Amino acid sequence: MALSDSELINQFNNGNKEAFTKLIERYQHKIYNSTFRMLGNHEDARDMAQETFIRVYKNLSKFEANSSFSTWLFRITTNICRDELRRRQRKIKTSNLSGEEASERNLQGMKEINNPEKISIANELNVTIQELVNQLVPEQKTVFVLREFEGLNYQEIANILDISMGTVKSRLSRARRALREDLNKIIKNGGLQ
Amino acid sequence: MRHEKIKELLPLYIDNSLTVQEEELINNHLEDCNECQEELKEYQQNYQLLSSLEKEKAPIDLVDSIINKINQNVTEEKSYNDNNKKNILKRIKDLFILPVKVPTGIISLAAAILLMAITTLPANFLSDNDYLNKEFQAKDESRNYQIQNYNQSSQAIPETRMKITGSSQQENNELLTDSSDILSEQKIIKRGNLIIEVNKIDKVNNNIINLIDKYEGYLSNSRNWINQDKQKFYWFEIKIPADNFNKILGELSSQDYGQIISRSTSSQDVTEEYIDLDIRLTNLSSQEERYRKLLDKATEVEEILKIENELNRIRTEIERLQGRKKYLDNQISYSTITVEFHQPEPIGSSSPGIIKAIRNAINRMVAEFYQIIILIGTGIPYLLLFTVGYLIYKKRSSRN
Repeated sequence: MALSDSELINQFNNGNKEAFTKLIERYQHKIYNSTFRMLGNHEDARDMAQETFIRVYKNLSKFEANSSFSTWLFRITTNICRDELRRRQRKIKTSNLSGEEASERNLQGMKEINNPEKISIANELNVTIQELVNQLVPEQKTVFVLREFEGLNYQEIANILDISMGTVKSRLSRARRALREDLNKIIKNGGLQ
Repeated sequence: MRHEKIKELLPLYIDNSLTVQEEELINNHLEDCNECQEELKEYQQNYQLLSSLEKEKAPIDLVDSIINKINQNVTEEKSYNDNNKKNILKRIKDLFILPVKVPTGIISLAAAILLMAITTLPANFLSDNDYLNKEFQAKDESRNYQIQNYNQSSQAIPETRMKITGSSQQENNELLTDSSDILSEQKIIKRGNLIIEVNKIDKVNNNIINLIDKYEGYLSNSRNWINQDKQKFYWFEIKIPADNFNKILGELSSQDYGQIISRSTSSQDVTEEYIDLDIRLTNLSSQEERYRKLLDKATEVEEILKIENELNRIRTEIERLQGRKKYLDNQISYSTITVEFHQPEPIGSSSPGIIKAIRNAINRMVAEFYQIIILIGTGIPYLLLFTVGYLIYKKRSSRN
């Protein structure tokens, strides 16, 4: 007998901390999937997912049921990821001048990718695709991730990001166009097996 | 343009979320555009690829780590809030301490002194005044004492009264009624006080002596001095027979002598005390009489000694009372008038205003300095308490 989100939230607001654990368990994979796709590595994905749920925990009492919980949850997630991405962009921009941190980060990424034991074929495909997604600008990436990886429809995305349907469409369209050729190359190289 | 529009819509076509018109537009276009057909196919493949990708699973320990972090956060936040509260207090405290950069001890010391100064100063002024008054009283008393001495040495005055009382002493037991008869008249001590401003002060001395002669009085005390402003003062204490009191006062008050600055008279009714004295004296003398008779009969040495002791005591007491009575008699029969003559205050006083002001300022400053020393002295116990309290507070807060 699974309780609905709002029932769990009510329980939590009445002091039942267990209810919150249940909420985390229910959404952790979705959220983690999103954060991973947006940030491109497991370490950051984990941090962002954690951050998301902590923020949810702090603000859950303020949550009003005029939107669904999952919409609200995704809004928090995307906000956190967007902030992080922007922060990182600035960092890269500035550290490109000094160089060090960016190269270090790149080095870490390379290590992760090149570790042969960890990489199965599926994993390799995953990593390649992720590298393509990483190239998108944060705004497009957000819409792209929510659509392609989370399978949300335009209306849901518009609600989450608090933007118009038109904006969702144009961002998604640009993201798909940008990645069309590269993605298709992977397929043509037998990526799907 | 049309082609561009199609190209934009094409990536969205696969989601079935376009409007009817948009879909129609694309359908029409696709029929005769291979390139776009190709592209659409690619989009579809890409979408399939992406949505078929295995979803990333959250690490197993994510839930636990989140819960841990939340718990940690809660406690941190609590302590942060506490810190914040403390910070506010601290900031307020800093507000007092920082800009001065003086150990709080000194500030508190200064504050304590100031506080004490404020609280005790009016009282001090009062007590100063009291002190002055007392001084004046003391002077008065000393004057009186002088007068007394004078009176006692000059035998002439109280004699008549003495005779009256002396005779009354001889009637013994029934004297209670007698004395009240004798002393039924009011016994009143009159005093007058005059301050007169005169221009030709040198004449005053002679005038007063003449006046005293005229009214059969005597000069009991006199003093003359010159103050800082070269202002001359003459001060007289005159004893005048009580009957002439009003006459001489009237004459002195007349404009012949000068401008009256102040004039006051007072009278003290001592009738009761006088009667009391009389009764006690008669009782004592009858007691003395009896002891005398006993002494004549006494044979034992011890008895004689005892009686003589008693007699001695009674005699002293009698003399003491007689002295007091004499004094009262004198006061009653001779009224006291004090007159002070002084020159008008010089208008263009010898020192210019500013120098005088500065001199006054310095004088007052010195006086105040002593006052402050006294204040600090009186404040020391409170300061000690204060510092001890402060140290305890500091220690406790630093321990926390």
